[in-house]
Amino acid sequence: MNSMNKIEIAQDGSTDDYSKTFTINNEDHTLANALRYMIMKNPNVVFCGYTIPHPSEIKVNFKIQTNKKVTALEVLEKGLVDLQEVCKHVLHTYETAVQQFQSQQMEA
Amino acid sequence: MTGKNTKTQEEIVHDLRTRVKLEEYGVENTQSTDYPGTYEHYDDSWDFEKFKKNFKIDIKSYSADKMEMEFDMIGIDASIANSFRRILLAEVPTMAIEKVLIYNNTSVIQDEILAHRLGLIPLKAGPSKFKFKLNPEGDNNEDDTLEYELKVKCKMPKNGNKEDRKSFIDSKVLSSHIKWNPIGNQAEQFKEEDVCPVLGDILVAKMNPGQELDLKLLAVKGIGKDHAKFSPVATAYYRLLTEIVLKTDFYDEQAEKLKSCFSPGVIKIVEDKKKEGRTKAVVDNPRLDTCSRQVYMFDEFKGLVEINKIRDHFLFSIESTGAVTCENLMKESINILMMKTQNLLNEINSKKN
Amino acid sequence: MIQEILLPGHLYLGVLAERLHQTLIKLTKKLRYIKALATSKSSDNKLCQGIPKNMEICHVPRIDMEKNTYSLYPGLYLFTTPGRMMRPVKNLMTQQTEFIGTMEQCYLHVCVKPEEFVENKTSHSELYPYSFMSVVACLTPFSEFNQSPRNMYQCQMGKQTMGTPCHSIQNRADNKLYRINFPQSPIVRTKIYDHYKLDDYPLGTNAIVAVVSYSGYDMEDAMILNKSSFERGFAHGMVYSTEIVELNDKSFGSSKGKIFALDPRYPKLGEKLDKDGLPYVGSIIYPGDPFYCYLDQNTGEYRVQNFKKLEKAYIESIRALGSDDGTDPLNKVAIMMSFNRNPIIGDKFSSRHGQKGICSRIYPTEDLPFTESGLTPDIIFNPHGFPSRMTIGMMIEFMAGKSGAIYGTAHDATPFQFEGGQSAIDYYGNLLKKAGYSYYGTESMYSGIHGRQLEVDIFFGVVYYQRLRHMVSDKFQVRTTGPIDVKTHQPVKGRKREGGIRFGEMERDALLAHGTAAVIQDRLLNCSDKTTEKICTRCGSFVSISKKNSHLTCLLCGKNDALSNICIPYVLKYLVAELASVNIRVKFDTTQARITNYSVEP
Repeated sequence: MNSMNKIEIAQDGSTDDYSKTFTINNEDHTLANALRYMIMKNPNVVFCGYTIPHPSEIKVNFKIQTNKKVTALEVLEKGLVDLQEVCKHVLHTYETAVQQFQSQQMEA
Repeated sequence: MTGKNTKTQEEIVHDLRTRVKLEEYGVENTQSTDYPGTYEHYDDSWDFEKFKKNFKIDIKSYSADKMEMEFDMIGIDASIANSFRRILLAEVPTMAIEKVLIYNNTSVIQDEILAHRLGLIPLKAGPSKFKFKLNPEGDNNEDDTLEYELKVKCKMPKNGNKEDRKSFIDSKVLSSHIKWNPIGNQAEQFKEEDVCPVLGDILVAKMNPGQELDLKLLAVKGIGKDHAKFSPVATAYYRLLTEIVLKTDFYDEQAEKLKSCFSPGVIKIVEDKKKEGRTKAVVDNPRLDTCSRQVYMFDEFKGLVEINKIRDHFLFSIESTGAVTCENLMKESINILMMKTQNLLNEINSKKN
Repeated sequence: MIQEILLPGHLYLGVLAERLHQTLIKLTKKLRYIKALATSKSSDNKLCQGIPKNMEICHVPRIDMEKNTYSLYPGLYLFTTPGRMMRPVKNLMTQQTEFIGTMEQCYLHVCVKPEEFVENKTSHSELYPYSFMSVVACLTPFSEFNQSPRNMYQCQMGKQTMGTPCHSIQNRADNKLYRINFPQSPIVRTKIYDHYKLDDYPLGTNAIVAVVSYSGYDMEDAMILNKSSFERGFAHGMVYSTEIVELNDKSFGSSKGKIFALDPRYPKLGEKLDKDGLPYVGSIIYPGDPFYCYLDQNTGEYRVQNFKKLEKAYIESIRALGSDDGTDPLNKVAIMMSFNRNPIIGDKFSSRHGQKGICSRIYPTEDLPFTESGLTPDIIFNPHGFPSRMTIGMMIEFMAGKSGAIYGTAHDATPFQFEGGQSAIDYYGNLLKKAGYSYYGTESMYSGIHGRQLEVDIFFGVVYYQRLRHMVSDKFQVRTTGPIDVKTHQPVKGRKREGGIRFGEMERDALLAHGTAAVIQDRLLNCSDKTTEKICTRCGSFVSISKKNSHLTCLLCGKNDALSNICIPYVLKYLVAELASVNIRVKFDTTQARITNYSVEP
């Protein structure tokens, strides 16, 4: 449907695999900020940040720079996987908590 | 907790890492700085097990009609909590009236204003059972559209008095007048109570005798980003848990004064165990505090009371409009964030191949 | 010296002035006393018969004792004619309300506060401290805290708001009427508001406003609107406009006998137009749709006129106009249409304190900051708008509106209430304090973008915002190429005619200053009236060239061998023709330009 790619590599003057700027289409602060936090937690990351170049265009420029032990793409993937794990755990904890609460209500 | 007036290095660093300070005219230390390498002797790199150990969710209240919920989320960063909040406001889908076919409208409300009002009425239909309508001009299928009709005629009662407005029949058009028309096999899947408007006493229009409305309403699935009528929550927000630190002890009148500076229930006056007849102020329930910071208006308390917020303790509050229950809303929100990450991962993998 | 007693038109009595100066003063006092009695309820007192309560009693003394000057027309002037402007004040002698007129007022000492009372001089006092202000000025809340030019701006802008102009819109055919769809009654209001029952004609919305520099889109008086508020109906408005179509008017041609009728040959027209050739009432008309269809009975020809306006319209009503007995043929109608004017970027808003600004962006709710209690502001206002403008009244309105919304009451913001005693800030601050909010009206907010707390407390409250009728849809004009003027071949003026914007003399000077020669040529020649004309190089004229025997010849020289092309603005040809009409010949020197070699000095 959409001829635009979801994610592209942007030209930012970097030549190696350890520093890249990804342009993610159809995303905003919701995903980008959470992803940035997860990637910053990675000790191999030297720099991670994102901007939204213009609010009328729905795209995010995401820049990752590593300490050359891993590539930027690997870091991005790991960040996404970590975020997924967090979400799964949050969902599981939440469902347990709701069940607990409702059973407490039943007893009372 | 009464603390000492000077802090050790460790305590200062701990404050920096976990507390937001509320000063008299501003807020300090709001940034989360727990990234690897920021602090010596601290390993802040991502550790899923550590996260699992520290993370807690505590449901504090959940109303009987399942429309309001308050819960605590402890041990997570603001960026992820904010993502959940944003998704709750804007990306969890609901059904709402999108197209209004006006066959007859002789009331004083203009067509477009009437259509606008009808769109904002929350519908009980569960959006998970419907698909998004990809082509807005296409056919109304049973799996993406709900059809309603609104036919009201205002009449004067027999022997009626023109002056007595209350005696007019059907002069107020309410949301309970909206009737469902099942399409296709919807009649087997749903009942009227499953898809009608959440509240029946929403005033849509007012009419005088002789005026009538004959409308056909089509509801589709949408998200809040597109239009606010699709937002499933009246509001969803969070706040951080306050922590009040009394650096010295306050007794008697001072204690009373301190109590009056905060919302009722935050500070409790107890009998001082060390001395007879003296009362002491003790922090009881800081959840109730509204951060009015009135305590800083008095010079005698400046410097002796610290108001902090715990940076990773979020008090979430969700108020649903009625279409989806609060627990399902939160589940949807988390699922949507997971889907976003999954989509991106799929894209990356397909690009690599 | 004669001091005259004048009644309208008639010289009543001429009396010697020196002896009667004091007597006249006493007479004035007595007349006024009787007039006051006439004003009061007990006006059946025989004493006040013949003295109407709106009589002006103006005593102009011959000598002004204080300033030691002679006045020009001394006398005792009594006015009883109808149609004079009068206003009520309190007569201190009788403690009753008395009506005084314009001439009388100049010679009376009217005090405002009891402290201003001057013995033997003050005769009246104002009923209210705000009596000197007009109706619109009295409607500004807390106007005594604002810098006065801001109050004056508000008086002007209050007249430009989209409000509720009348209740009988359905029965009128006004050329243009602006109306707000979901008006609200202001939380902060003055006594005059209720006195004149302005609640029947509300003109704005109570908006939740945060004063914060948030996104950078709110600079220079712009403001940010909340997308969800806008979608729920905030500041929605509409414009009603009536178009009177008169078929027997000259613009349709000179023949009479045209009536509205639907062309039977095109059944597709029947989808848009009713059987009488006019649009269906309640339908939507898009630009370019058929608007009406008429039949010229003399020629039997049907003509369809398309909708010329640039935005879609809803037909509200169509009135057939004609004679009283209804026997005229259908050739004059008034079509009333409404246009949707929901706020878009560029629409002007203002609070009631002269703080006007345009909407620069409609921000999604999730990006906006939110408070501890979960509120997102409807409008974000830039704090730089306060220091130079000094509209403290608006800041107090923030707090008063907030406390009014919390307690569920409307607050009285009549000017000159908070004089001496408790200050307004203290009063409203304490109300907020009792409700659990900060005394200073600020709240600590969280950012919607990154989720953390904002490092500054934000001043947050409820302010009544008015939507002004200057909307960008009515003002924008755009043109690439388009209609040109017949005489000068230059682009026409005017938004309606798709004209261009004048590139004037001062703009030309600016380009000259930059030295951008190509831009000047582009603006003033290429994009304007550039033409290629033939010029006769022998006699140097181009108005004399014309076709003779199917060849172009110069009529002055008689020959056609010296013709060449020249690129000029067309308006030059017009100038030469005009000069020729007053017998001035313009001759152009067409010898080649001499090329000089410039050498570089060592």
